[in-house]
Amino acid sequence: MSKIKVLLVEDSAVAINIYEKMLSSSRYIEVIGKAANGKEGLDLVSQLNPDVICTDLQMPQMDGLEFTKQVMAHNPTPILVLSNAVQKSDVDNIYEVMKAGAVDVMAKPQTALGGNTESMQNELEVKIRVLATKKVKAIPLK
Amino acid sequence: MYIEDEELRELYKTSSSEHLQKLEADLMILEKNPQDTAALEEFLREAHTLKGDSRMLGLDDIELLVHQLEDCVEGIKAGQGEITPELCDRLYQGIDAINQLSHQAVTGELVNIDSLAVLATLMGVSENVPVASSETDLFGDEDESDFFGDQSGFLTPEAALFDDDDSSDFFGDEPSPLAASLEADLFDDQLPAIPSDFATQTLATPGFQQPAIIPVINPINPDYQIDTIRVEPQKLDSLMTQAGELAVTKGRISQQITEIEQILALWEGWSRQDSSIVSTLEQRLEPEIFKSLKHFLSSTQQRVDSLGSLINNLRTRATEDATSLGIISDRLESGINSLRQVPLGTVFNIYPRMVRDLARQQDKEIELVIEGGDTKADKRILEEIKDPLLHLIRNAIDHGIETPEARIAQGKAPTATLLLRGYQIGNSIAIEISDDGQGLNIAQIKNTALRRKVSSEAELAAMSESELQSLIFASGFSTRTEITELSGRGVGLDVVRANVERLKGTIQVTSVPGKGCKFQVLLNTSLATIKVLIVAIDQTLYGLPLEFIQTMITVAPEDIYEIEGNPTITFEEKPLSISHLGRLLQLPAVAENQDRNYLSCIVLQVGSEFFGVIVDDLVDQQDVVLKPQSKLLKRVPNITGATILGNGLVCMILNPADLLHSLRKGSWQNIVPAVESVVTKNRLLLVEDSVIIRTQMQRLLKGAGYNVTVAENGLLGLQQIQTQEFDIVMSDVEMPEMSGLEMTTKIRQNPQYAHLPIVLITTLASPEDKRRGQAAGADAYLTKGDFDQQVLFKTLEQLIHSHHINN
Repeated sequence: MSKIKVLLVEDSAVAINIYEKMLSSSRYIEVIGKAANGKEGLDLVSQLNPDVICTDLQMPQMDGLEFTKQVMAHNPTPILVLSNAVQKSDVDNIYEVMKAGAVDVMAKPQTALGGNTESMQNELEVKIRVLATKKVKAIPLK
Repeated sequence: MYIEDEELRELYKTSSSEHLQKLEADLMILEKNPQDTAALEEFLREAHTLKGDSRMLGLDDIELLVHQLEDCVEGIKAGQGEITPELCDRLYQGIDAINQLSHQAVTGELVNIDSLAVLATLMGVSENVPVASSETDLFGDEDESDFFGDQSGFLTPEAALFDDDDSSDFFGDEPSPLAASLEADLFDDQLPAIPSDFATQTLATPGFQQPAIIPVINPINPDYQIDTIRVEPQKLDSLMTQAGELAVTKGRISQQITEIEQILALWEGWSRQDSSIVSTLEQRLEPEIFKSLKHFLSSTQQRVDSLGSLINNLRTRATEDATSLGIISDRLESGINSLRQVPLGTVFNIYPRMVRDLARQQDKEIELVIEGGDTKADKRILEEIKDPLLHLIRNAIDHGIETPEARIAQGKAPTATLLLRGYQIGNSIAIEISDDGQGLNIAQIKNTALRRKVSSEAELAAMSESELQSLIFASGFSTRTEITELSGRGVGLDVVRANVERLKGTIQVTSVPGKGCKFQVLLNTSLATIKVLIVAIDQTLYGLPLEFIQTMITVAPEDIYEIEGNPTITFEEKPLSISHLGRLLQLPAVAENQDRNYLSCIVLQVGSEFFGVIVDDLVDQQDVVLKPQSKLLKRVPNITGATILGNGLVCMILNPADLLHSLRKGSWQNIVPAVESVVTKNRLLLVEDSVIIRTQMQRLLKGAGYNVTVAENGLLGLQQIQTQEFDIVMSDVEMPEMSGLEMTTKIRQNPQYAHLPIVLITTLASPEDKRRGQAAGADAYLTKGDFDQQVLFKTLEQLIHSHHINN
């Protein structure tokens, strides 16, 4: 069985590194590309054809919301939003990004001083595996 | 809190310091121009990313503080309250604390930060500015659509584009209040003007550019490239050292070629040996015997021939290899040198915050303009020029720039302009610091020069205006060491000049009274090698840096006479102190060559001083790579460093400024900061009314080797001064009977104590208090609030030292 191809879209090098560390040990998942903002993300989506995309919300040049809209319009792919802005208080943000076509949202994992925490790792892995099974339909831009 | 994962630690180290720098830069812009929405947005975004990173790494304290920073600024964005200097002060403090905490997270060194106290400081602001302390409140108060309207700032692609490219400077210059609006059209209108600006900005700050995309292990796209690589400076330093070693090896290999040439010469002599003896032998010996001899001779001849061709081959190849090694090592060295070139902006960026703090402290209005931040220079130059520039800027603010009232009275704009400018001239870079303050006061310079015995009346009369202005760099000119809490130490301009000269640079000052003052520092861009003259003393080689050598002369022993017991000669119709170099270096005395008719004397120039050193032999002039002394050796008198010569010998490079000091029989005691080694205890008078502080200080000072006498107030202090002699007086300001200020004034009234160092220590820290202390005649003014033992001891040491020199 081939691994689930994941594209990471995130402007923080620290966050990217943490995701990679968490996912590198997974038997099911393979990170095939990384982009520092939505714009670069879009280029990589068409090149790499990922199975699942994990994106941040706040990014320079093109943020996660616009990125989600663009992906869903041109290359519909299951999107998992990983952002601090989707913590429970931000109902509007969750609503907006789900409306744009993202399948699931998750708060950025917290680690103990860069060390690995298994529960977070599991949660991330499980979410990605579930997302990989989803079929998503194109949502044309308004 | 220490990030365990090495990779994440490195990532966090670079990213957090970049975020903090941007936060500080944005805050500076906002303080000047609170309407600058672009800076406000960038501030929030930087804070948000930093908070996110810190949270993911479990750095809770940092997360907490950044969140509070964000909260304060969010409130302002939402129209609750405005940006005041007081608020900025708190935010700066918050940024400083975060800086320290992140230092702890990446180094593991414990820092003394009370996060809760810092948080309280930040929160304290929220009492004045009605920023809700928790998120729910903030959102609760807000109309939902309003809140979302705010967010759209992030979500509009155009707006985000501007934010990211650090365009805050660009917008900062826009006076239009429209800039405050986030209308997408507005940005569109400005688009055509932007590309060129952006291009330069991007070039100017390559260090801040993230690589566009982080590489994947199996790149699918073959065109995929990494544009920039971050390298730690230490790695470049070690490359530089290796390149230096390579240069030495190159020298040694050329030396081997000389040896090969010698072998070749030997062989040539051998192969051309006179063969007439063979024919003589042939005639005299019996044919039988001669036959075996002839056989032996011809085989020897063959061997000599093949040896010859081998040596010739070896020489050809060695020469080729040495040449190509030379080319490669030169290229490597210049390549590494250019890698170490860093834009001046890296250093310049430190100053805006300092200027802002100083100006606020002294109630002055100053605009700092920075130009040419993209001019490049060697990393070491930047590191070492930082403090001299800092002192020049301080100097301009402390002494050059007037208070707004004084400026208005002179018909100037209340806000002074301080220009910091860097540019390239040929192989040098120039850095200028100019202000539009009151300029240098020539009359005052003359007075000080006379009082400090830097020049005589007659010398002054002969000087041109620019020569008079340059006197401020003369050693011993500025002895009033003003210690202020910000820099923690005061140095005179002579030290600035010495620092610049150590970088093989020059410094000049031009000033127009009432209009302002300009300092120009000229520096060489490369520092790797220095030219030295190699001399021999008792068959040991020493190097003297060429830039200090004025000339070389021969001196007949009978031309040497003595002035005040010092050997002296007449050089260019002036007396010139001379000494044998070995004696200055305190080498064991060697029986001097009495039979020499002439001695080799090198005339050295340090600043405006000339002196001569006598050496046994002049050996060579060379470019050498200077190796600094090991950090274990804090200070070795007379020696700058060492180098390895082509023949593998270690050669010490001498420090002419130290040699001059040695010649004057200067003591090296004060240079070595070992308190224990103070042989004669300095007598200190401590005047302080609080019993607790008095006892504590007494213990502290005694521990540091001072002979302490105490007095409870100014009046008693004054009595003590009349009965005993002191090297220094340290006094509180607020005291019963007689205050420290009054006492200082009284002490100074007696000409006998005109130069007795007086240090005032107080809780009163306003600029006005300081001015009063200065007016009374105190040499230094320390604040109890941020009392630092090291600063205190350094101050005392410096003042006592200059006091002794003056007497």
